Amino acid sequence: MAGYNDVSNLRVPDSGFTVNTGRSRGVASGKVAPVQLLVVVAALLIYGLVVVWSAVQGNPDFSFKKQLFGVALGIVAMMVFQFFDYRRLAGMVPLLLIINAVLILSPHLPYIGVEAKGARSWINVGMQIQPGEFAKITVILLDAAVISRYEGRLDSLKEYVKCLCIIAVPFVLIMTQPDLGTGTVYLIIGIFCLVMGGARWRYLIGTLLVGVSLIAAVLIIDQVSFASTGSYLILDDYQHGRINTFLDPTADSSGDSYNFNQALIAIGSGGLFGKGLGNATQSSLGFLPEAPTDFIFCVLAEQFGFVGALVLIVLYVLLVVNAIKISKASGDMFGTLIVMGILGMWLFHIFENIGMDIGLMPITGIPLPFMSYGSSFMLVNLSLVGLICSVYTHR
Amino acid sequence: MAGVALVLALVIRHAHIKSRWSSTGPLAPLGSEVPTISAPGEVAPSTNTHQGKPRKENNQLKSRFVALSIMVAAIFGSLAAKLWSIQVLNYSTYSAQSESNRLATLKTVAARGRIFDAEGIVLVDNKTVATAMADADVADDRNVCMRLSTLLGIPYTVIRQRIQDSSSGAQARRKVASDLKDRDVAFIVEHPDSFPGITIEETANRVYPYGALAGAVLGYTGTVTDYQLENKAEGMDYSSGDEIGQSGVELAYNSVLFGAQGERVVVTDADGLVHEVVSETKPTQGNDVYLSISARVQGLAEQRLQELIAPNNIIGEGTGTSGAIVAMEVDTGRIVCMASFPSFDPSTFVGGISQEAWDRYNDTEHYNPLLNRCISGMYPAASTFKSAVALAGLEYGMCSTSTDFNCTGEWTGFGEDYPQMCWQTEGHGHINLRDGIVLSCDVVFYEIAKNFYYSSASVGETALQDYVRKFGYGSLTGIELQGEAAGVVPTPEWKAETWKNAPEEGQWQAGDMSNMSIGQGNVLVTPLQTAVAYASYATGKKVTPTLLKQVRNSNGEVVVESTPKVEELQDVPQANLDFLREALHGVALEDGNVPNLFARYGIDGACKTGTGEWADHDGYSWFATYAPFDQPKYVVSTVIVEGGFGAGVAGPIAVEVLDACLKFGEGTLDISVPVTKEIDGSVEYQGTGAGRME
Repeated sequence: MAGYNDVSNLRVPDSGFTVNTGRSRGVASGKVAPVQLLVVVAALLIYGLVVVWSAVQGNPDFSFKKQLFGVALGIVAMMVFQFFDYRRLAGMVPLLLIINAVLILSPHLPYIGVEAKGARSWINVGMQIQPGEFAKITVILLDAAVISRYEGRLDSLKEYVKCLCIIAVPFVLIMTQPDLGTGTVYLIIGIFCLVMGGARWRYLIGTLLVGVSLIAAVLIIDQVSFASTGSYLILDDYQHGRINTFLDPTADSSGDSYNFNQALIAIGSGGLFGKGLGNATQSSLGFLPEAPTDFIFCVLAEQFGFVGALVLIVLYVLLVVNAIKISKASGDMFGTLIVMGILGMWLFHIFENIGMDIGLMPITGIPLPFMSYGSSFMLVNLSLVGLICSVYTHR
Repeated sequence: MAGVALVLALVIRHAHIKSRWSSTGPLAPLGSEVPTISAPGEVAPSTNTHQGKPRKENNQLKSRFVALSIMVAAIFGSLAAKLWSIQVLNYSTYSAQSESNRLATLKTVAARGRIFDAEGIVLVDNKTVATAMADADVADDRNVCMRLSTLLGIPYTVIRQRIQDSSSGAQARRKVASDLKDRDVAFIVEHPDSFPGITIEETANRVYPYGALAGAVLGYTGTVTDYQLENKAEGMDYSSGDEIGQSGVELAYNSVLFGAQGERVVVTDADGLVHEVVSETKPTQGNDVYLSISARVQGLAEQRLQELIAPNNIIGEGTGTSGAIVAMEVDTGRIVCMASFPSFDPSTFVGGISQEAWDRYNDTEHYNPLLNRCISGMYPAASTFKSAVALAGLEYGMCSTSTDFNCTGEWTGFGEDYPQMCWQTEGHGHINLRDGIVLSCDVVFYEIAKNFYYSSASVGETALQDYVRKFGYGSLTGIELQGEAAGVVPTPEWKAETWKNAPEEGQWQAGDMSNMSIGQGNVLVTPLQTAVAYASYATGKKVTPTLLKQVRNSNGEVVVESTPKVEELQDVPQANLDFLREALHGVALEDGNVPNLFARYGIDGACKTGTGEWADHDGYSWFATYAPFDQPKYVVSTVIVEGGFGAGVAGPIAVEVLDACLKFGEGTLDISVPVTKEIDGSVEYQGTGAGRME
């Protein structure tokens, strides 16, 4: 335990002030919280609530109050995580592995496990929740804990492969549900931790090549299988449909293509300044499905136009810049990689969610951080903000 | 969730579970090779170790932060650039698509114009009704069909059939039921979840206050067919799903009756529900058509036909199997009555005709009630044709008013091997042309035919045919109704063409001429042609018949007044006409029982009877008449199929209708319009054996 106390007294390379407060444990920074980051997050939350409010008008499937409650709960979680010293978890790889396994596999449990839309991704504990969503937090912690051991110098192939295997565990587990979308997020987190954790470029590129070959193999096997038996062997029909829609959105006007085209129309018809709050006809008249959740960005872009979309992008850039700053300023590699894992996840969510609306990425059910309707993801994101604050304050 | 897990993790850690991974030692700060341990309270050096002592891995991580920054810039830069392209550069495209998503232009159907008789009695009216429409795929939804069946009291299979019926187009909405009760409408509207794909539309249905009265004249309406859409007349703006005229006056005056459709621009959601109306153009009701027909005379004619042919509402129990009466103003061609029996009730077509009714209407056993026999029925003209032949004979000098004919009952003018009979087998003896017409002596006309036949070198092979065509035989009269038949005036050319697959049968024979001269053989005419011909004898002019009196707009203002189309007869000397009129007058005054028919009504008329032959059937009973003799006003042409003798069967009805026309003209007609039912019973007609020969 002493080691952690020691670490709390170390100087942070990039910060311009000393960190030693003389306390035996806990907040060591001169500042209690990263004010800039929190202001950005607050702005995002308010912006998100405005857009969600407009998107759920007249839609009985969604409740704005529930979203408000989710934000409130998230803020509480954020404060809990902020005051929790993340460093206590450093090096606890087996424990984090066990927690991840329990979380991700819990939908397979009898009685509480729930299967829906062909995936065992939910458990029912009074309310229906998706543990794989919450496991994003523990996956970040796991990946950061594994790789931070090497202090930014992962030079041994053996160790690299060992890391890779551990990082792959949550992905393999979530594919038993299966949930490729969340699994991809886990992989992205792992990649960010590996890259920013100092893995050799050579290993990374090799891994990339193997990964691309695997994906190509999956697609080829599926196409061959489809040609001979008429059904896909590995991926589901809908997943192929999404890939095809991404490659050729004009192919058919129903299903995924319909969603994509309606999303484009919503965004494009917003123009420079938008149609104004409450005038998002594409979503309010039901042309845009899943408007408050997956397609929330379209609702924003339709109402507030390019200017409104740019405001959101600037807020995200500020969020990312602040996170990078805190990551660099972290007192230890573990803190750095935690923030990098979080950053990787956010960047992926943002790029995928907005990108699918505008045709840069294929369509998936990846929500937009701080914007999309949904309490679970809000809770996860605000918890992660709390973790970043914890990294900021505990150095 | 994750919080709980972390607390759990701490508890476990406190229980000193250690692994190889966790025993690697304390964490080092970023940028230092060896962890620098300092005691609590100690102040670390203020110089930047990172800058001061650059290390390999430090540089590596630094470069990775640079790479990360570039990636972040690339991500957000590409998003912003793509958004600029979509939202600013292509704004107009997407804006237009958004508008077309949001706005829908709905057509509001204009009510069709109404149809009145000459006196302003409404024959076809409109009634606004609620109609249940279904999307095509509702047919696959058993639950919805069952609910509709229960609610509307229509069998499930019928509901399903109606929704499956794609006759109005594969994408068109299907009519489930029309004229719904308010209660049922309210139930469907209030339970949209139970009736997905079902909507209620207000439509104007056709109403026929007098049932089957003049059904074949008025015609029926129906949903526009694909063929009609592709071939629509200029200026017509009907489109898929519209109700347009399909026969009779409804079809002939569709462009007048069809109103200007209204338009509503509405905001709709993805499910097609209307949220608000942006703009609206009201539909304009179609113009009203006033027919020249008198519903009262029409009603009388139809009643008399029914009493004669189907006295117990069963065809086959009376005299004849079908019939037609046309009454027309001789100088204008305006039709006063156009009765065809049996007729049909156009209301059968309202909301879509059932297959059963359609089959019945097109079934010979039910004598094709859809057929307007006045214009489409072609019958042997029989002796009514003799008037035209007489005029032709006089014109070409094939006979004169003083020619002495000798009728022995049997005529062998074309050789002993080809004897032909006069209807009066004992013969008329010596007879002149006038009496030949009055008594309808066939031999007189055989002689005229023979003269034409042997003079073909000088007057031409078709001189007779060409001359009778002047009176309208063999060509369309030009009435506005569709489906008119031209009839047949046979010529060598016509015969060769008709028998082109059996050329030996197509040889023009002398007998063809003699048969034609008495209106038999291949001569076929419509009742309307006969009316037009007799009107021309009465006036010396040929009229184009019409059903139109005037067109009024929805404010009651006359916008079109019918103008008679009349042409002078060429090469018909007044003397010949006077001679023919006197002869026809003679028929009315001298021929057997005929004078009694006119005397009953005190009418001074002219007429000609006719009995057309039909092997093994009773004859076609013809009667053509006009009156008053000295100042003709109306002509009536009547045929009763299998009716027997013209004077006995068609005559009484024709004269009664003529009397009604005259009284109608004077304003003294004192009958009302009957509500008419269509006849759907029939038995095999035995006939009376009458009129096998005249």
